[in-house]
Amino acid sequence: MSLQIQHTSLLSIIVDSGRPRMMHCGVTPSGPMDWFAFNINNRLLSNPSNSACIEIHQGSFNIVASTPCTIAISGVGVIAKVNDQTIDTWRAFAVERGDTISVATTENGKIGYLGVKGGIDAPVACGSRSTVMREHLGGLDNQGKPLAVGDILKVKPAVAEMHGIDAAQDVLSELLDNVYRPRPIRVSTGNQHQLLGRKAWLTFLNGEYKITAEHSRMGTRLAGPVISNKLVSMRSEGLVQGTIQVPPNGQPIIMNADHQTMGGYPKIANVCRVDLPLLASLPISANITFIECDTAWARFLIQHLVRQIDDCFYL
Amino acid sequence: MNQALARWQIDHYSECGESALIFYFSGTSILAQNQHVAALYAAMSAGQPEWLCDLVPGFDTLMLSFDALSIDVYGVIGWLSTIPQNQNQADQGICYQIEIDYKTGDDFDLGTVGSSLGLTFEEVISLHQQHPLRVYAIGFAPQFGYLGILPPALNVARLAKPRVAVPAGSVAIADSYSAIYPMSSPGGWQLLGTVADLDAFRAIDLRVGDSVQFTTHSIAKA
Repeated sequence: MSLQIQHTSLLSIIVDSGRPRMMHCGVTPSGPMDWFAFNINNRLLSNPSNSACIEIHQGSFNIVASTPCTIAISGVGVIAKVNDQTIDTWRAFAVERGDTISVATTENGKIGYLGVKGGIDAPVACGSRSTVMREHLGGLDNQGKPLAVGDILKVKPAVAEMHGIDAAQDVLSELLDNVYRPRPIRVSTGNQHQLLGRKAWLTFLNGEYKITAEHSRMGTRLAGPVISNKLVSMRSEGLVQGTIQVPPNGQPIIMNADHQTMGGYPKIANVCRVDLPLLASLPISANITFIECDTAWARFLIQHLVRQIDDCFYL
Repeated sequence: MNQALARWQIDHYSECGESALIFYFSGTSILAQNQHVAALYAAMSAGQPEWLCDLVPGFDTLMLSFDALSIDVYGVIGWLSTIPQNQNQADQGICYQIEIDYKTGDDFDLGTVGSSLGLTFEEVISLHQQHPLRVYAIGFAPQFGYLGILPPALNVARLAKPRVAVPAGSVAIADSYSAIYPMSSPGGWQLLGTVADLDAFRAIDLRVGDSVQFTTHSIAKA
């Protein structure tokens, strides 16, 4: 079973849930920018939770099925078509041999996921199929190359059918509304928020920031009220997806899925995991604000969301 | 809880969101702090529980990320008091000998580093090899180790204008650290030469707490 790429967006790559336990060697964890859209995609297809799919950035991605297969397309602001007929996103869909599947993002910065039942097959590097160009890891060549026109994707055989796995569509659509509803992004305090001081913290929480075009899988630069970070000098230390650093120009940078393992700028905040999908769904030039959330509440929220996902799939 | 932290010479910790936390170590010097980092890193690596995702040892910090669905920060700190402590573990790193082709040509900075410090290039090389350098942290890129501490006489600033592409295998210095670029990348460190055997270097599983002794393979213009 295989799929042939006819057209690629500016960046289309193979991702899975990421490289586990490699950060101590300086290797980025990688994985999807939007863990929720990725996770739901695999659930819709009854795939194991770390199955690889295609993450699509900026533009339209077309692929032809060489055999009948079941696909799912997820993401916000994504238009999905089969043979030029619009199909529902967030839903499994059976395609025939020779069908052309198209996934297009509506605005720069939005991200789509195209999954196929069984999961995309590709070389595994350091425990993952995720593509990281700068580390020369993952991708079809296992040198970090993004997908290109003419590439042929192999599909793994589907695991034995599990029962009662169909999504409850009404529950799922309610959940989507909750996850992606526009709202302030919830953050907990970062390692150096006290060193940065109360004025910096209030500037950050009260200000409105714009997502700039300097936006990649490594990080997103924001533009907005300047956060003073004078007097704070520190040694580089570990960080995670969602950590917000303040470089000397005072314009915050959010670390994304392919972040470096360590960062030497003061860290003002960490985005709560429940709000990473919303953040990943925003286009370039979108305005965002932040609101404080303590870590105990953030932990409750992520547990609750995971339970709601399970509920959608009757597990 | 304070006992669990004190047992590992942890001064304090900070939560990095709901799924990670970072320990800051006490110690009278950066070396002492980094030895405490390496001790806990080694002890944690020896028996990683299911919920433990990533460990990131730094100069004076150890960050760990965990599965917030199965454990919280109090559970993690509770675990600290149960990890076996090996007194000899503090400094059991491996010392690697790495041969360098030092380069005096214009594509490298050996000459300008020497003239800015008032040293001949032979003196620069000799200071670079004066003693084994400890791996204080690994970051910036895969396998990019911060090797220190260099003799103060060899401390130079980063380049004012970073190179767009530093060749893979380049051996560099900046401030009180040396490093080897395992793959080509942009970089602002001052280049002294290249490793004689890049494949052999890449095969090394470099860890915080290990050390590197540089030796001369050759000295040539390019």
